[in-house]
This record gives sequence, structure tokens and C-alpha cells, in this order.
Amino acid sequence: MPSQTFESYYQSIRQRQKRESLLWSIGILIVYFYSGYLSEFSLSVVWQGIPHFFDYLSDILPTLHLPVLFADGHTKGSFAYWGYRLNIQIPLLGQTIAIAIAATLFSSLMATFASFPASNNTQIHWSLRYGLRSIAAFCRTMPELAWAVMFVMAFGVGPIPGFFALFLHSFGCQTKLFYETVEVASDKPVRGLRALGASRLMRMRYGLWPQVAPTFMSYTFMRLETNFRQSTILGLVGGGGIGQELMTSIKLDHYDQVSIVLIQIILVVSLLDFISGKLRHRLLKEMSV
Amino acid sequence: MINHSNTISTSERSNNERQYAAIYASRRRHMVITFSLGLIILFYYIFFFYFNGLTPEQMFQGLDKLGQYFARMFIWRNVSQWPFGYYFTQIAVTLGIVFAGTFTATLLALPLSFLASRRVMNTFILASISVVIRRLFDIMRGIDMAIWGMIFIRAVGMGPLAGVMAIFIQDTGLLGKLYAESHDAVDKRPSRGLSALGANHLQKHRFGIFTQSFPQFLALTLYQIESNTRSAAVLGFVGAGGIGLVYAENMRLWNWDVVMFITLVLVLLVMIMDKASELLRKKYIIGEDIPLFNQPIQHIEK
Repeated sequence: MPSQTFESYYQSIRQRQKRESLLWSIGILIVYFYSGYLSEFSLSVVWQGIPHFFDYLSDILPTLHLPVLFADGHTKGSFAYWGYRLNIQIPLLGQTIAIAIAATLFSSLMATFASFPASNNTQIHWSLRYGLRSIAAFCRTMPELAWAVMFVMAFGVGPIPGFFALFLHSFGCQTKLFYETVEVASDKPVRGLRALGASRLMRMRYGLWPQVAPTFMSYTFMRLETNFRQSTILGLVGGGGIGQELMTSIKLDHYDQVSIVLIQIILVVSLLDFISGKLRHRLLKEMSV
Repeated sequence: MINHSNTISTSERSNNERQYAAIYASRRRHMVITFSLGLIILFYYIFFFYFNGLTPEQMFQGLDKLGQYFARMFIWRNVSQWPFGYYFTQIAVTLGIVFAGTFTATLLALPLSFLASRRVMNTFILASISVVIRRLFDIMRGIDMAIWGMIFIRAVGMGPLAGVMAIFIQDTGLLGKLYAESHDAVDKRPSRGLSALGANHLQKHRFGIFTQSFPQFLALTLYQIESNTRSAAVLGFVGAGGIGLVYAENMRLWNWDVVMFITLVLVLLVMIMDKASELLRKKYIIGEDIPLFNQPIQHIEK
């Protein structure tokens, strides 16, 4: 027995949706304008700044002259002249990659051990769980540059402080992702093992670990890319790697060197992105077999 | 306990090995792969620390200093004299930078993501445009926020605006790529149905694709706001505004207690934002049941 016509039903649903989207739009606009006010973000300044930005972009483009493109390093306008510092920059880039890999692997390993006690379905005492979670939250909220400053003050300039900084920051991030993964794993294998009399450690190793291992691997690959990006800035505070070179080039207006360093960073990021994408794809394929 | 009642004798074991040769072989292969990977990683670390390592005295000195820093973090002195107003203003500025940057990036990334989507750009010429846009996204997100901040300081001067622009550029790249991926992952059938009904391209993309990718869009944006709140602190270190400046100042002055305090405030803030985005997710991504016309509410199994 129809109590209302279709038209009125449709209108009532539609009205509610319209009201909600209007409210959200107004709310978001208020937040947007207020945050624009706080951060001195105004269209007029941006409008005035955009030409400067493009000026800067055109400044950092190298001057290349076609006839002398392959001349030696002393001729202005050749590739060799543009890349005259490559023999310094490429080892620094390698150092950056090395820091990123070292920090990623070690943080994933540590996060793997920390994530099982930190998740709520492994029957570990709550004090350990909340202790680990707070440590992880602290580690990931402290910015990596702050960690880097701290370790540089303690150990001096070099890649090791950068490694520790990046390790602590990504340990915090990885632990959170990992324990969330453990928490959504199925508890059926765990219950089965428990019925067979398996200990708590065995239940984690044989009940939960096989379920979460591929996801952990996939997060690790993703983290590698992020960590490389972040390790490029560790040099700003003396944490080793290409960042120092980049900062000096930007501050001292060595325009052509800025562009060559940026190109190297972008190339490595794209390469890592490509490799980690392929590996994750393979991992998923193996999973589904 | 698991082995008490059913310990396997040697003969039984060899019998098992013969019977389940494939399983044992794959297990052995797995062990070999794991072991050699572990060995490679171990060597990597040995080389890493060998080439970059610290001398023992540097190490001990450093650990000693670190111990002092951490000790100072937990002993708060002169709390009543801290300029709380300044700290909270800087935190508010950081939040302002994050919101302004991420929202502006969302506004630009949404239209661009359609131009980058393989599903939308399906003819040859359009596909080449989409490749160009995807490479542009790669460049934008390949460079870290702090580096964009330094570049924008040259363009618009020191201050929070450079931070907004840095977040804006990096997030346009990141969100654009992720949005495009979510457009590519949608079900094709609604678009086909719409074209059978005579919808034009714009309508097909709006109602056939974006309706399906909207939950992804919302989830990614919410996550990005939260993640930027955490990473925007680095912007202050390079002079692009916000709480990073307070960090840098107080670390130089050895005020580790202030560093601890600000980090705790940020932890709390991120937790609140996490809860808020969880509520929003529940309401708009899982969604609520709308009663069908003239029917009682049907609860759909999620």
C-alpha cells in the first residue's frame, strides 16, 4: 500500500542529500578560508608569485648550445659543463639510496617484531601494547628532520645520524601500518592452533604471520620509495646524502646544479617506483595462486 | 606441548618425506631463499657501517649525549614561563598550511586525475596527453616537500605561503596519481549503461566513474590531510612557516622539554584528526542505508 507518491519520496531523499552537501560545502569553505588567512595564502600573492616561480624554473634550466653540446667540461653550453660536479653528486646520491635502503629494511624488521605485541588480537598484556603504540606514535610524529638534528648534534655530520633519524621515523610509521594489518587478520587459524595447544609465540608464527607477511612486504616496498624521498632532505641538517649539495646549490644560486640534482632525484624516485610496483605486482600474483 | 603426544620417529619422517616430496622440496627452497636473503642483508649492513661508520669514541660520546637529550625531554623546567601562545599559534599556522595546501591540491588534482586516467583518455591522442600528465605528477611528487619549500621561498619569499605552495605541488602529484588509479579501478558497466541511454562523455565520467571512485577520493584526501599534518613540520626547518621553526629554535637552545611538549601536542592533534576522519569514513564511505521506495529498510550485508 503506497503511503507516499514516488515524487515525494524522491524529493525527501534528494532534499536530505542537498542539505548535507550544502552544509559540508559551507563548512569546508569556512575552514579553507580561515586556514588561508592563517597561512597568509591569498590569491593575489600567489598571482604575483607565479611569475617568479616560472622565472626560477627557467633560471635553473641549463644553457645548452647545440654546436658544443658534446664538448669538454670547460666549454660553456655543453653537457659536460652542466654536469661538472657529477663525480661528486653521484656518490652522494648513492649514499642517499644506501641510507634509504638501510633505514627501510631495519625499520621493517623492528616494526615486524613490535607489531605483534602492539596489536589487540595477540593476547599480550595491555601495558606492553599501549607502551609500544605510544612509542611508535611519538617516533612518527617527531619530524624526521628533528630526529636528524638531534642525531647530528650527538654523532656529528655524516650518513649514520641520517640513518638513525630515518630509521626511527619510519619505524613509527611502519609499526602502525603493521599492527593494523595484524588486527584485521583472520583469527580462525589462531583459534585452531590454540585448540591444539600451541603457545602464544607459535600462534603468532604459524597462525598470523603467514597471513600478514605479504602485506608487510608490500608496505616495505612502498616505504622504500618514501624513505628515498625523505632521505634527500636529511642533508639539509647534515645527515648525509644529496640534500647538502642541493641546499648549497639553491642557497648559492648555482642554478644549473639545482636542475641536475633535481633530475637525478626524480630519476631515482621513478626507478624505485617502477621496481617496487613490479615487485608488489608479483607478490600479489603469488598470493592469488 | 604440541609435540608431546605425536613425536615423529625417524622412519616415519623419511616415509613422510618420500610421500610429500613436493612439499618438502618447496620448504627447502623457501629456507634457502630466506637464508640467502638474510645473508645478503647482513652483508649490506656490514658494508654500510664499515664505510660510513663511526669510531668507537664517537659512538660512546654520541650515545652519552643522546642519553642527556632524552633525560632532558622528560624533565620539564620553567613550564610557567614558556610562550604557549607562540607555540599554539605556530601549530595553528601549520594546520592552516596543511588545510590550505591539501584542499587546493584536491581542487586541481581532481580534474587533472581524469585527464591522467587510462579509462577516460581512451583514444590514441588522449592517451598521449594522459602519459604527459602522469609524468608531470611523477615530477611533482618525486621531490620532497622541504625541497619544494626551499624553491618556493625563492619565488614567494619566506613564510607560510611557501609552505602552502610546497604542499600544494607535492599533493597535486600524489593525489592526482592516486585519484587516477581509483578512476581506473571502477566497474565499467555503469558507464556502458549510461552511454546506452545517450549520456555524453562528461555525464558518463561524472555519474559512471566518479560516483564509484568518490569513496576512494574521500578516503585518500582524509588520509593525506592527516599525513601532511605529520610531515608539514619539516617545512619550518627550511623557513617555510609553521611548527618546524619552533622545533629548530628549541633544539639549538637545548630545550628538549619543549621539543617533547610540542611533539606530544602534535600526537594528540593527529589522534583527534584520526578519530574525526574515522567518523567521516563511517558515514560517507561505508555509507548509510537509504530506504527504497515504499519498502522497509533493507540492511545490506557489508
